[in-house]
Amino acid sequence: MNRRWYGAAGFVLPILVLGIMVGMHERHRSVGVEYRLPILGFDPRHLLSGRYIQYRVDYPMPVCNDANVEGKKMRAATACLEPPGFQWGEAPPANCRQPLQGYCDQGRFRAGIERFYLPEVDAALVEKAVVEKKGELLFMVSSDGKAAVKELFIEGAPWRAYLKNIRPEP
Amino acid sequence: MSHPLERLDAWVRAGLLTNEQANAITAFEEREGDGASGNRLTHAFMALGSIILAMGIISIIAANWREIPDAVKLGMDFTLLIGLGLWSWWQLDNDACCRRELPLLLFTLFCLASLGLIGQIYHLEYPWYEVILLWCALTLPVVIHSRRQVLPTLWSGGFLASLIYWYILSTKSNLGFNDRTTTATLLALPLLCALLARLLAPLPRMRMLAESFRYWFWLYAMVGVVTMELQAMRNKFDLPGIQADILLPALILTLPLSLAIVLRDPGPQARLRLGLLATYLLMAATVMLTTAPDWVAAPFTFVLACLGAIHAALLHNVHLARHLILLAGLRAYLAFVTLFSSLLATGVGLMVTGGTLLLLVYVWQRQRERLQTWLEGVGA
Repeated sequence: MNRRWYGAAGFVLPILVLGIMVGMHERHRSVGVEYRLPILGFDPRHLLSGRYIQYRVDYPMPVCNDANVEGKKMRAATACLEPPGFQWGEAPPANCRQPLQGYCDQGRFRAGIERFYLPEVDAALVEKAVVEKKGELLFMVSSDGKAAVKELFIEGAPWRAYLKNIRPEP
Repeated sequence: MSHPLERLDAWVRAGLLTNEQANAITAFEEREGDGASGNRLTHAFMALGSIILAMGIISIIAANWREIPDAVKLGMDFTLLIGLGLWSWWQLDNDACCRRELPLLLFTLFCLASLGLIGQIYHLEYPWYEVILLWCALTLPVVIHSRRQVLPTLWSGGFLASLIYWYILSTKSNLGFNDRTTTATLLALPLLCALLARLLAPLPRMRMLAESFRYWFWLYAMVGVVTMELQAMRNKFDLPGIQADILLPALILTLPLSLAIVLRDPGPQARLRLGLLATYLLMAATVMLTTAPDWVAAPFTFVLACLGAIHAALLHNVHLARHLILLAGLRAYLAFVTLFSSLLATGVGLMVTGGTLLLLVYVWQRQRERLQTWLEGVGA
């Protein structure tokens, strides 16, 4: 009987952990402060990578622009959204009310929100809009600086609504 | 060594078994064993079907279900996952291989599909190797229930691939054959596989995982040897800096592996394994640390292949032994072709080598019992 229950525990573990992951990410997405910032392409020719687009967020302050950084290796950094600021390392700038944790990679600040999954059939149209600088990203930031993607906006509308408007009626 | 079922007729003729016993054994193996070719074929198709099914599920997830809300996707995913988990747990004690292995395989692969779905819904940026390592950690308690090779081999393959990638990228290296870290990793990988196989083998539930790491050991040992051969062919001073650090990961693994070999297998088997290890390291040191010409790698490869073939034969893995002997012969031929400018000299060299091998086989056949007794006495 004990062997069966040990066996059951082996199956429960992955289900439990996956459930906790969903709970954690759902909490990240719903608890915190919302921000909406424009997004730009990394490389206009190759935004699309598999089933997601990659972009960089256009922060209202300079980020990762220290010319003295050794090489261009990844290095921890913290941006401040209120008031706008930036600091190397994991500690936020002084008097920062809303930090955003991330790292600098080849001159770009990455906070784990630079990727958006899209249906295959819609990806090309959305990519085109982002390249034309019509995109904005809505994301949540928790008090400890962790960010989570909420929605992608194109020309002020959620991307699904935007695509519905621009596609002709069948 | 031929399969036991193929020897049944011979055993009956020799009076070791009756006809009724032979028929009973055949019927049992066809029903529940993996000895009959029919069962192996069934199992192979089952494994292929499961993998294709799981890949189909993953592909459908990856195609982004446009119309289905995220909450519904997650609900369906967890419902299926729980259903597969219950089915697998219910079949754990079932001796019929397909009924036990199929749900295990599906559940394990579906865990990976679920990780992919969560990453997609929440737009996560975790690198693939971190996801695979997480999947390995979550599904290890499930994989150990498998009594066949497919699932443990898939699991250990994923574990090794993600571990290698994580290690190479964590050293800020670029993955490529010109890279020092990649070379060092490829050299050390077979030692890691052998060590994991040695450590897991005595644990009752880990026997299949140990077998899977043994399979990867043979594969990565060949990759390691090919890596050294390629390195021997190029000017090793292309790689900047001191070459010794390329051997560091392999040297670090040498001590625990040697201890594991000596403590677990006293006797001639341990000597053979240590001989393989020593030859491998000597080849690595010669190729990486000296200015020896490129043909120096050839005799090492030949010796490694021969020792490997003997080791495989002692483990009753005749197919592998045959392949390794073939590789040894091929390498010897390539060495002669490279070394000697004339076809005549190559031919003479090959005749001498081939003749020597035939003589050794003849001596072994005639003196096998005496030699085996002597070997056992040496190891005792």
